[in-house]
Amino acid sequence: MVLITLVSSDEQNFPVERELLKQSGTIETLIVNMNLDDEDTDAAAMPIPLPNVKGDVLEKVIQWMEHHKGDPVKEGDNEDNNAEIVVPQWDDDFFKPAMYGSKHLELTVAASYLDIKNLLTLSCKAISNTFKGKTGPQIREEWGVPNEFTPEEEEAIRKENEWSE
Amino acid sequence: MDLLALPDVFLRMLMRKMTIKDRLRLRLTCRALERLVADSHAGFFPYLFLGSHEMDGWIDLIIHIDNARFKRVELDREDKVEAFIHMRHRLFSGISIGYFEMKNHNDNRALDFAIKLLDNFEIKRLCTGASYEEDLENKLQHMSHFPLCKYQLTLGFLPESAKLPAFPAMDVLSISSNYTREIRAIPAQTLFRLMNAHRQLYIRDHYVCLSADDVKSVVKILSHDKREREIRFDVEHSTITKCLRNYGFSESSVTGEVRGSFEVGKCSKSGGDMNVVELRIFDCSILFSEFSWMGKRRVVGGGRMLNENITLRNKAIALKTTDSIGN
Repeated sequence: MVLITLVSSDEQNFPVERELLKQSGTIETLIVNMNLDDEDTDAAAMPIPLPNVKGDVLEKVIQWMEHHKGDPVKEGDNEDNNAEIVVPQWDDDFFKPAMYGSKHLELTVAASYLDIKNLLTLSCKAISNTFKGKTGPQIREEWGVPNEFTPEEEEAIRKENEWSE
Repeated sequence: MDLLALPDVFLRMLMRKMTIKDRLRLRLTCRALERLVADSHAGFFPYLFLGSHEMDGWIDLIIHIDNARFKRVELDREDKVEAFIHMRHRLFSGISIGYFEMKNHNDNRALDFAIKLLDNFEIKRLCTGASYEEDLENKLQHMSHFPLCKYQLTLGFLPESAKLPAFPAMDVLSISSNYTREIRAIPAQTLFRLMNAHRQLYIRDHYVCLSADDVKSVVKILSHDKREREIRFDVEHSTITKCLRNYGFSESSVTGEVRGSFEVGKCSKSGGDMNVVELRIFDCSILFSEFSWMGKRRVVGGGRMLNENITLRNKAIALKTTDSIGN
């Protein structure tokens, strides 16, 4: 089994199975550019620096990739049917503990930087699911967003929203 | 990092994963999210419906985006119309729609409303229908506002022949006599024009005046087309019998029989002497149904005479005859 070492922004090393990294468009490109797939190249001696991802976040990303090893990689996500994207139970459990904190948001940003489409889609959907069926005040409370609306502004929006049945 | 500190690109991505109802609720969170809802693309939704309801001369517009339903918009109340359009512009900057079903009233104000409502909508398929000439004119005008989508037009009447060539290319064109109940003869040339212009073509109730040689031409055109297509039309009584005999098939033909480039894919009697024969040539399937080898006309429920029909599919076609049209 070929291992490739990823180095986080805080200098932590993560040896990762080569096969797993196919899920990341960014790392795949780096592997090709660095000729790490060549038999003559000593991949173990050539770690891949990821200066935009902290160690604890990278650890989570790797954990996610291990679970999704072999999953087909989506091509773009603009055509997703909003209603039909379902976050599988495993992923829901994976995201939930850190959902309302910065860790989940950092994971989302890392998924984008590393170009892991499935992780990015599910991560965004998991965040949008936290809004599902919630009122403005509930969302504010859960996400710690301050209420800046004047009563008049809030009333005006409420009135516009009444168009919805 | 908090939610609002996420880079704009992620916030916009998030906005593409939400339902319309959740977008509405999110507006009541804070000013930043209210603006984000208004300024972001809503993503892809499979279905949009725009219809109208008329009662006592008052017209209400009905709008559904997927499973989000909105209160009816009174077309005669300009303030209501403007308020709805304003709300829509605070709900998303753009949206992708898979299938747009347009059944709105023939009224210029309804068209104006539709144009305002659908500003920045990307529509993949527009489905509409018309029951009479003026209705059709309006629907064609509506369609011209959405030049990038595929069109699906269902007509409950047969328009004047001169108007048919003016249609934009349809992905699916269906013509029947659901509205007028009259049955008319369509010249072969008209069928050929329609076939050339539209990918899928369904002509029901009316019948096409085709000779057996014309049928051969139809088959040739379809079987040489690289696209996936389906064409269905009724023909005059006995056309199919002549056509099948010209190809070398008869009452005794069986499944698997080969004549020239044709192979019998299916051969069955569906009751009495009404037959179904499927021929195959290249990637094309030609289904002849509801015809009689004896050249008899059939009367079906309500005394209606039945035409033979042909359905051709490339990678399927079909053809049908009715006895109804007898002379």
